[in-house]
Amino acid sequence: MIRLNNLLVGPVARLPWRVQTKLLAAFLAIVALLIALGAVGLYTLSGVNRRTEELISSERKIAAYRQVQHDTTSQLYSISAALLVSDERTLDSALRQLNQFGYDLERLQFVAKDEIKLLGKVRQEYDRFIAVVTRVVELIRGGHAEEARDAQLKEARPLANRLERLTNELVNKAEADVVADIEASGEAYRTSQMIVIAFVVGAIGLALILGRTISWSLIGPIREIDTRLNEIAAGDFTQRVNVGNRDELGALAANVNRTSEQLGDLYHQLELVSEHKSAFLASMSHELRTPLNAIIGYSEMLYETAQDEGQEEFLADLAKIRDAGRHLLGLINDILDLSKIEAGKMELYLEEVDLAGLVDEVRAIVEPLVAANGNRLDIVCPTALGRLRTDRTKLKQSLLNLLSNAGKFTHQGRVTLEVRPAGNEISLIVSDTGIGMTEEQQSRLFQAFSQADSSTTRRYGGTGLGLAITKHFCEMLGGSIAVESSPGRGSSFTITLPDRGYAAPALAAAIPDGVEHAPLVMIVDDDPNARDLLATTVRREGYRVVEATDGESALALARQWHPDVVTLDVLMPRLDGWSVLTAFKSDPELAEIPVIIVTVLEDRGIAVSLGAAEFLTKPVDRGRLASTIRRHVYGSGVVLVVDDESESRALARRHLDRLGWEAAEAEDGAAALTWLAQNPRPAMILLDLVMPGMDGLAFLEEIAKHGEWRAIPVVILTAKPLEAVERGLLTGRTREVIAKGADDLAQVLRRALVRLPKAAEVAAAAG
Amino acid sequence: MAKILIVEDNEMNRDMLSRRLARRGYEIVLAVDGGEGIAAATAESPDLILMDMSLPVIDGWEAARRLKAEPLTRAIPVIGLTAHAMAGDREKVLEAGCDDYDTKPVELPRLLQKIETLLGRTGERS
Repeated sequence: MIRLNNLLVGPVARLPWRVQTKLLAAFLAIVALLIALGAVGLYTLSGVNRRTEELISSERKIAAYRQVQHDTTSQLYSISAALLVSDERTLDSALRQLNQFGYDLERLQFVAKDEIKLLGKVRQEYDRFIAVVTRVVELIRGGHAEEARDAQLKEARPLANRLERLTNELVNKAEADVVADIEASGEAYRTSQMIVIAFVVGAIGLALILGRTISWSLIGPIREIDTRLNEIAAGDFTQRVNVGNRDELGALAANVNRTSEQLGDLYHQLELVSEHKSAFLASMSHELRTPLNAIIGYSEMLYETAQDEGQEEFLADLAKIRDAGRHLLGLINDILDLSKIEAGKMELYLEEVDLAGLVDEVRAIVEPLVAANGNRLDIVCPTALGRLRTDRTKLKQSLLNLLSNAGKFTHQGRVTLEVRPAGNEISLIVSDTGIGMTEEQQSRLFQAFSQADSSTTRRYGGTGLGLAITKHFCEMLGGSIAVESSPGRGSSFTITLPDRGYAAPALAAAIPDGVEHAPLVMIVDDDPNARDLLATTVRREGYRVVEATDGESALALARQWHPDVVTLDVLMPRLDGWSVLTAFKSDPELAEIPVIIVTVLEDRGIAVSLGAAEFLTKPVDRGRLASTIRRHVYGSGVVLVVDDESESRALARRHLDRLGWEAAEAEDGAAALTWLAQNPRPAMILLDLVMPGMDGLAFLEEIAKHGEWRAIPVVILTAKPLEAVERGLLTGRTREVIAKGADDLAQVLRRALVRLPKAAEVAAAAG
Repeated sequence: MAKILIVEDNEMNRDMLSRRLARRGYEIVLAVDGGEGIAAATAESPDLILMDMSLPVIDGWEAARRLKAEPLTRAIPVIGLTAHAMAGDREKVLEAGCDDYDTKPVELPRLLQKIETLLGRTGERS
């Protein structure tokens, strides 16, 4: 069907007709077929009609022949009667019979005009029969009864017999005609049936093929144009729409290509302008900063000298020069930051940041600023904050901006920095008891060069760019900033950040999506369709997906996200798959990540020698892809399920089965120990705590005594809440405690299995 | 008193920094580019180096790397100075082998604290 499509769609697309002409042609073709179908129907119907008429005329002939036979017999009968009773009435009746006979014979000649020869004979015999009968009647009338009987016996009888034979012959012939007609009619019916069916099937088929061909000759280009427009929207101006159509769609495609080229040129020019602007700003900033450094530095030196030498009258003026210089420097730095942000040149440096440490640093810098207006600085920060993957400098700058603003607009009040972890996010709240803002002021707050009131710049200092920069920074870090305030009642700014760092905006599409904590699969392919296809399959299997469009970003993203598995295309521009694979394998940070080569090539040997974990050829079978990924994410092997409830064991077995793992079952601790003694080491033990016989805790004690079993990871499955003592006993021996029924067993198993060393390593360790 | 090598190409910055530090009793050695900086570090064995990162001839990044690769100068603490606290500058400076970093224009009290910390640290070690 696909080949037929290509065979037809292409030529139809290339026809130099307008779309409506093509549609009309298809419509007319179908109409012509319908007209032909109608003509065939009518022809068949007229055939049937003709045959019916023939049948009727044959039936008429047969009736007429029978009548003639009947007449012959009646004639013989009336003559016999006249011989017996020779009165006038009987004789008249015999003669009248002759008239009837004549009349019927006339009719016969009318209905069976085609039987000329036989009818001629019948006529001859009839004429002789009439002559004989008339003679017999004359003889009877003349009283020559003996002669009449003689004539009757010797002439009339044989004549009547011959007449009967002749008419029988006619009847037989007519009946044979009828049978032949009926047979022919059946044959004709079957033929017409075939013709009509063939025409109907042909008409439907033609309509379908024409419909499909024309729709695809339209849909194909539309889809291509749509893809192209999406690419243009995404900023890729290098591709062209290639459609063979010479109709309106062809014109549209040409238009899209032209527009794309023009947009590309424009974009390129804008990029150049923007680059020039950034370069200009950068060099200007540098040129401005150098003399400013001198101004600030020398004014500071003079200040120090004046202080040392007791020249108090200069101090205030020197401080003004120094502060104005600092202000100007801050302004230049902010403008440079903003221009970098706007040019998309601001880079992110994600690292593990010790949040409590960062808060301490910020406190040390801000405390004197806040205290200057007689304010108190409160820090509310949980002690066990942990680390946050983010850009240290940008987060610090954002907090400094908010806190110095708060200090600036608050007098004799309180400034608070609160750090509040909440689920997957962390909130950093800077609040003050200062002058606050109206709704109108808040709405302009985050725009560049727009302090709440232009007079505030003069009164409170500052560049008015800080909040705009802070907002950009928060967004770059994958978070947001919000404000709550009312005049006279202070303000509260809340920065919300995800608990992980986020990629720079340029890589926005490369942020993993999918179920939180699900294993991460990175898909590397330059073809968006191939990537989509793979991503859909992978997502359906419950993984998170991160997509990379080329080799360089694949390496960067792999270092950032540490995917559990990578699928890698080979034929990519610039850095091809083999180079990416080599880079993966030579980077200690990435070498352990299994790489599945997905390609149209057949170079399995190269893939294996470069260290690929698997080799799949495109088009990829979904089931095969899913099982391959599953094998590398979850590994495979045996999990010992120790539980006295058979339903719980069956449930665990089902979940394990789905992840490609095998479940061994034991109904209590003792049975589990027996199993362990008789079998190779399982990869994990799923253990119920409450069991008759040897319970879970006793079992844990037992396996702790065996060196080789002690290392087996154990996941506890329990229905009862744990006492502190039990929790203490379990700590250090188990991986995870799951509440039966409450936690999602499937999720927990997935998590636990992902973290296990893969089967091969388990086997190696066990062996 | 401690000997500090200042590697800075800008004359005014060099002048200010050296005078302000000299006033606080440090012995100052000057160099105007990376190459001179490395030579001075080897010849003078300063107790600490203040190094501008954007230098002619051999830039500060490369100079710091060479100083830290050389056994003779490896132990000398280096404070990298950059013009503006750009995102990632701190990381890059530390990556190049510097022991600490600060931004220009210098805030003298902060820089002095960093200098004292590093000098104290090396003092403890030796």
